[in-house]
Amino acid sequence: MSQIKLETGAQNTWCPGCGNFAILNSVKAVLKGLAEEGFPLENVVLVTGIGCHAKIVDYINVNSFYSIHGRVTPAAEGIKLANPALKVIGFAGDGDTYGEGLEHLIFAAKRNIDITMIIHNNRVYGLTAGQYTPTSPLGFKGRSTPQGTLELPINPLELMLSAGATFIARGYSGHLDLLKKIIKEAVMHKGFALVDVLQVCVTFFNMYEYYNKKVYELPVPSASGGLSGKDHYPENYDDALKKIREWDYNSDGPIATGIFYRKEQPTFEEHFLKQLGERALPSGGQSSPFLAERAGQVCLAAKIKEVLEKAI
Amino acid sequence: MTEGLSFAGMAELPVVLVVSQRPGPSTGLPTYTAQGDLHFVLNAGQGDFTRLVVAPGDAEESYFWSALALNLAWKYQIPSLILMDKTLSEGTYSFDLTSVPEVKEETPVLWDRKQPYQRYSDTPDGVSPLAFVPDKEAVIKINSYEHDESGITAEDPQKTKQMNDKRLRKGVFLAEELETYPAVGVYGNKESKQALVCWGSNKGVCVEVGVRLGLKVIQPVVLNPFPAAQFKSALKGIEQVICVENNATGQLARLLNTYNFRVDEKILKYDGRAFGLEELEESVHKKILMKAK
Repeated sequence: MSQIKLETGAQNTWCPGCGNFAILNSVKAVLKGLAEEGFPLENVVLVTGIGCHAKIVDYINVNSFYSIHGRVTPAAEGIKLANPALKVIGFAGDGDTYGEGLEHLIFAAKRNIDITMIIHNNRVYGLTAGQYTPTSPLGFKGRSTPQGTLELPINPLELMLSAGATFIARGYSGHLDLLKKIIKEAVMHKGFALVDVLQVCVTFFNMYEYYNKKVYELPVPSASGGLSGKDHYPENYDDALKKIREWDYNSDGPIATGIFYRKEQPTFEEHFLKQLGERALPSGGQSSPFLAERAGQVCLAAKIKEVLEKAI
Repeated sequence: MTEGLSFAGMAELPVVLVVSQRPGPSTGLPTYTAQGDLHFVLNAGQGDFTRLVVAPGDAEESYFWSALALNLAWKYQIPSLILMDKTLSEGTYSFDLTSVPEVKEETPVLWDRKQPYQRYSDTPDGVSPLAFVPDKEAVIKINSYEHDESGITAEDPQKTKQMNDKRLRKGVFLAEELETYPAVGVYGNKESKQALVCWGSNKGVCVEVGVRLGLKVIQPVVLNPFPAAQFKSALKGIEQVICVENNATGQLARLLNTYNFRVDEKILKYDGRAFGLEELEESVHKKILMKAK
């Protein structure tokens, strides 16, 4: 496995200093790690929406689905359902998925489908040269709001927690090591995982200086079990909510990064396959002719057949 | 619907969409019937791309053409649209299965593994062989953005034009293939010099009126790519063309005009209800008499 080539040869057109480089490097490191551990990379599908973030799939030599604005989540869900053996990682912008695609995100969290969503949250529409997004702070002066916005941002992590997401984390493009660690955990999580990455747009909303002052890492309980009283336990819903509410994307509060919340729960595709199996096997455990007939051609049918055979 | 349709056109995703029409605009009469979405379905989605549009006229045709639409969507990797209306899609019918030609499930063009895989390889007929995830030897990149053969985003002028041409070339081969199917139905008195032209669920009532009044009835089932050769041959010897439609402006008539086919009269009903036999017979009778004067 020494010859994992993740580069495509496509010319990178992000601005120098763009926070997207940190996400690209983190994801490549995570994919390399997966391959080295024996996970076949042909089982990975990367999905993007539209925006600067979406170019990431041009720079990674792995199966990809460059979809349309706001539709990263449903495309990722569809791919996962068509073949639950795949690892599906969605990349989306804040405008892309906290704006137009928000309802998809809520429903994916609600049904706990096993996909990972990495949000390139630069809090501005960068590709279209600087308009406000759902996470821009109050008073943000952009191309569409020259006198400043008149509305408060949403706190997407609070929304995701209430919607039922089973893995919620925040990373920062200025802290690469933690970002890699979080993305790895998110990809390995069984269930719906959301990583909100404070990804700085150097050209239209340069927040490096501000984030460098405010961002801190959630203290992880130490292996020795020393209870400092300050450690964060991501299994605890109330603690997660408290930490998520510490900063509302508008106030001047401290900005926690790390894993806020993590919970093991049955996934949507597990329920889906079970129901499909029950319907396809009305009596006596015989596979339906439809599934058998298509198994040779279409991976969906092949996969379902395989799952059904295992289940019998 | 349109963003996904246009995405399917660009990314070359095989997909079949069933559109059942009801009176519009907007909420309109949501539980009634109409044929007001022909031009919407023909043009929905931004940009130029190949699409198949079929409008079956009854249960048999729905059965046959939906199977064919699925095959053709896979074969050409295009969106296929089946245009219905409430009368047809929510009606309950029975028919003799043996009366419908058999449509066998076809295998799409698959990657032969001789060359490194390219999702959008440029081929003589524009169809790029398919591979499916997961495949150890193939990286499969789907893209809604203009792209090169490998699926990587591309913006340069030559590539943009080349890939547009590749996608549209599929339409030329699709049109040729469609001429081998019964894309235009011809019924009634085939010697008549007057023809009722209809589409979709009006087939039944038009054929009945045609038989009663001794008229020819012509029903294009395929609406895009338009089967102009078959339609022209159906019109041979016809002196008066009467278009019968469930919309307010004569949408099929407008489509026919773009292919230089003349429409003399239009009988349009747009009150949310299907044509009744006597009602249509009376309207057609008046149009024939007008011509006779």
